[in-house]
Amino acid sequence: MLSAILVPYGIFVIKKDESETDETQSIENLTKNIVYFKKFDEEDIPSIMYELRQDANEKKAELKQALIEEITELKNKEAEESEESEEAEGIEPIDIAVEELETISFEASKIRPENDAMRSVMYELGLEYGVFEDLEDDFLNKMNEWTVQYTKMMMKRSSQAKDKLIVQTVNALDNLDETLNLFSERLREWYSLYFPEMDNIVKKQDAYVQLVSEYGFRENYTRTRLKEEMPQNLARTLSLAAKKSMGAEISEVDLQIIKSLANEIHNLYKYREELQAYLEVSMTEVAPNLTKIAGPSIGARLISLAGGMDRLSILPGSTIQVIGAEKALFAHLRERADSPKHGIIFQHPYIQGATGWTRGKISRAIACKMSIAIKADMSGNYIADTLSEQIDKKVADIKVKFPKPPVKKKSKRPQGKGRPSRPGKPGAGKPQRRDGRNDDRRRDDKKRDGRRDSRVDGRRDDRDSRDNRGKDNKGRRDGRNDDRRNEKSSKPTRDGKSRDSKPNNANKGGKAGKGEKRKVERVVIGKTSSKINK
Amino acid sequence: MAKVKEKFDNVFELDLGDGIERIGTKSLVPNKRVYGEKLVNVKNTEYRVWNPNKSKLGASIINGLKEMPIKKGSKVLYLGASAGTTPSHVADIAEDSPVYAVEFAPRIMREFIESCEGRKNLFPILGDANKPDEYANIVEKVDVIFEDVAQPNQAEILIKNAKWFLKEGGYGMISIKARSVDVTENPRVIFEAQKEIMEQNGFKIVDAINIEPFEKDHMLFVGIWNGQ
Repeated sequence: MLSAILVPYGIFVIKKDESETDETQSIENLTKNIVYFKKFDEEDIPSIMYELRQDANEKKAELKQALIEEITELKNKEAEESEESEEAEGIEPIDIAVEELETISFEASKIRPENDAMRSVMYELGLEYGVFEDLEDDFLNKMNEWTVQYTKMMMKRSSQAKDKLIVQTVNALDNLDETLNLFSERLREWYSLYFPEMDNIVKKQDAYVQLVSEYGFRENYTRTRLKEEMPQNLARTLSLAAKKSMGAEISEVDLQIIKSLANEIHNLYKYREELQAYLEVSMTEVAPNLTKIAGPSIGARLISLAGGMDRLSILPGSTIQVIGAEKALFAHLRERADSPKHGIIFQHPYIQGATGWTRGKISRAIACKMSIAIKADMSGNYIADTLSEQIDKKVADIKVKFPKPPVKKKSKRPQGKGRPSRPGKPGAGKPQRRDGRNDDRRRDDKKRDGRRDSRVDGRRDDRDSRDNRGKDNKGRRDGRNDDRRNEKSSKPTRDGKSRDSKPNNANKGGKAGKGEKRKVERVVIGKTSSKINK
Repeated sequence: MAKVKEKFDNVFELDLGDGIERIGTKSLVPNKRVYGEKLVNVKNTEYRVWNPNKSKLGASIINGLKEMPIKKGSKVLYLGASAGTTPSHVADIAEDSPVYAVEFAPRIMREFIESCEGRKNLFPILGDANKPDEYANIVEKVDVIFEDVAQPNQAEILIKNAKWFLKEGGYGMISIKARSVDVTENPRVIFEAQKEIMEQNGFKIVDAINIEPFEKDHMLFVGIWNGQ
């Protein structure tokens, strides 16, 4: 039985007696049984190490093939020479039958006694076979050089990986959104000194910015000119407002500096679009399945939050479902808070459009398919069409199976647990949320949250004393939840959103950008609505 | 003037006259810092001060490690090399014997690889300590495995690697971070459990050092490997 043993600098072929049991496989036997040694080219060693790590099976097959060819050739030569002269000169005959070659076993992924024995004398053999001059300087120098080269190749691969580029792009987008919001707010404040009415008329940030950079002076807001860019009624309101504006008069110089800010913001918006387009292209290229199912934005974010495609591909669906809702998740695990239904996959249109009581089920179905999709992406298959069909079917099934909210159970807790049912208003949130004013409402939501806090604090105190909950923030979180539950009955639609997005934002302090998820979507949604407006 | 006393093989006690207990190793690459440590020159030999706050092995030596398995000439497999703080000292101790340093994260490897380029006996391997077969064709049988990976299955990783690479009678050293095994459990319970795992799988624990105050909830175990 022949077995090949890989060492960094070459391959040893060992002939193993059938009679020899594993126990008798000692080091002496091992060295005695070496029938062939193939030395690698020293320059190739790092790349061989590298390829073995990339795809061990393929590389081993390749090495095996090369080894067989080499030995066969040598054997042929040997045979020729022995025909010419009776005694083969100089060359030691290779003790391998050609038929045996095919059976060489290249197993190295489990512990075998011969490999184990080889490992004890790996580098001593190298000395014996003339790979190293000595085991101190030469061995150390060479091994150091090989491993450093090899590790550098590995690093090159990992930093070349396209998914890392995607992660950076997503982060850049988030930073950009932050900046854009900041600057747009500033521009509004600034320009409002001159033309305060426009702040209320043009809600969309990029439309506002464009108007400022193009029009500037109030006199320019004529109806005829505006009509080309926006609906008639809006053009009329705006031109009327411009005529009757109560804003202060400013000079050309003052206006110029505001206009340059508007120009800069405008350019940033353009760059943002570019980034978004680039993200979409590269996502389709890198993860076609995931992109098809989750969309480029969610897909990229999942990759970014998981820290790369390879990491994402080993996550189960249940983890993918709550990626981005870590705070809610840990609150659930630690205290008895409700489990989050969805993390960043919330932005998926199916989940957004789902009614509250099916949302968790749909999220789970979609997250599972995403998990399959990213695995397929890693192995290079394209199965997205089947997957999305399955999702469609599953979602439809869920909708049919759960047409009505479950009957609300009487909970032990006074304020009721969870948000399963909204008696009286099933699905009330759905149409509202889809309309273009989405972003404004969300902003309101945030403001209200702030107020809510102060209200909660008072309530929290007496809760604390009753429940004897220790930590401040714990109590507060609970308090906030409960409070939201209260409010939910009057405003059901906001609930899921605020619950999942808010705690996240707070949680993500450390990692830049994660908290901005919502804002991105806001801009995207807004954009479509602005097109309609125009 | 600084006084030097050999504490273990190639590990020195440095007395700089300020009453602080310091240890250090002879620098294999003079005039070069790995992590911003202090360099001390005594009688034409350069020593690198071993900062116990940054190295768990250094901390456990200061906290009274009975015996130091890593000696001059020891072959070492170091799992979880990170940026190379401790491996550089281990390489100093081993002197002309190889130290195979496995690290999983490419990002930190970028820093580690720099210190490897000078230290000839330090071999960087980008790989997962959980999968010894990935580097089985590179690493030979070693005298000591040192592990510092902060994974929930730390002890299993050590055992796995010991089966592949540790000589019989060789030493396994593991720095257990209780917080990465289970956040909620009492560290003492975790240490007992991890110790038990190692003892059931062929390690005889000979030393256990708590490295408080340098690291919280960390324990360094030294075990002798008795085959399977």
